[in-house]
Amino acid sequence: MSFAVMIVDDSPAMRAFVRRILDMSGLEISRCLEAGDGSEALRLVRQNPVNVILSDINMPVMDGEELVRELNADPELRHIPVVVVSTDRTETRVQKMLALGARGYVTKPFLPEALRQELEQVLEVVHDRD
Amino acid sequence: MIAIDLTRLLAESASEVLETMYFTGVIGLLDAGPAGEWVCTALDFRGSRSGSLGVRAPLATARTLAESFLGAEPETIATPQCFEVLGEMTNMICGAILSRLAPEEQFSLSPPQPEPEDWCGKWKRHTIATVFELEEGALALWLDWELP
Repeated sequence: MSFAVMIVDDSPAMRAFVRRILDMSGLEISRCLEAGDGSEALRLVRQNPVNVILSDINMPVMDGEELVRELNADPELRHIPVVVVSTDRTETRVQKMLALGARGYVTKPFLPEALRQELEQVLEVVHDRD
Repeated sequence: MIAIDLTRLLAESASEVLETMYFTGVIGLLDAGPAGEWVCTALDFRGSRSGSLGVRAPLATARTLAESFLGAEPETIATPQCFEVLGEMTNMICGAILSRLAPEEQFSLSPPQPEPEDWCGKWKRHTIATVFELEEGALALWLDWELP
């Protein structure tokens, strides 16, 4: 099974890093979209459905918290799981993002294996639901 | 005593980020980095402690770090990409520092920005400033903070 992924981060370098990890992950990625903030991510995902979104929190225009809120408020999009990728490792923030509807949380810096495992876990959940 | 602790704080935080995502590590301290062109990025953080963090590297080191991070061929790395990669490193090192200083406090971080090449003149005015020797090159960190 192949997956469409969206990477949301205001850092082009981090987006390239994550894309590189996805390329090496062994997962079959059919399409990898990139967005620089939550607003661009929403615009893109409405036109190009994806299986999972990997999103930073701290971004200009629309941050990751607002992105998760917007996705969950949209009946067409709320099924898309979001894995948060952030430097903020406080338990308060982790629990807040999970309560808002994020499915996973990976703190930067992270080993490629950690992101791959999180992604596999989330995608398996989606697969089971399908 | 404070300076020693802060140096350790910077070293541990830089090591965590470098070893995890840049495939290199801190091997010691330097009195000064090599001569030549350097690139620098910095950000501000706000919370129970507010301040700023800067990360500076010789251009050659920044290029090597960018190669490792992006998995790109050396000849394809342009200077703007060095700034982008160093900026992301600044972001992650700041997160690592703050999580050690105040593990359960939330901070707001500004986007990392390129800093002008006047770092040498400002060096002694920072709360702490240290140059680390890496397996390949050097990396300098400065940290300023103020209590609310």
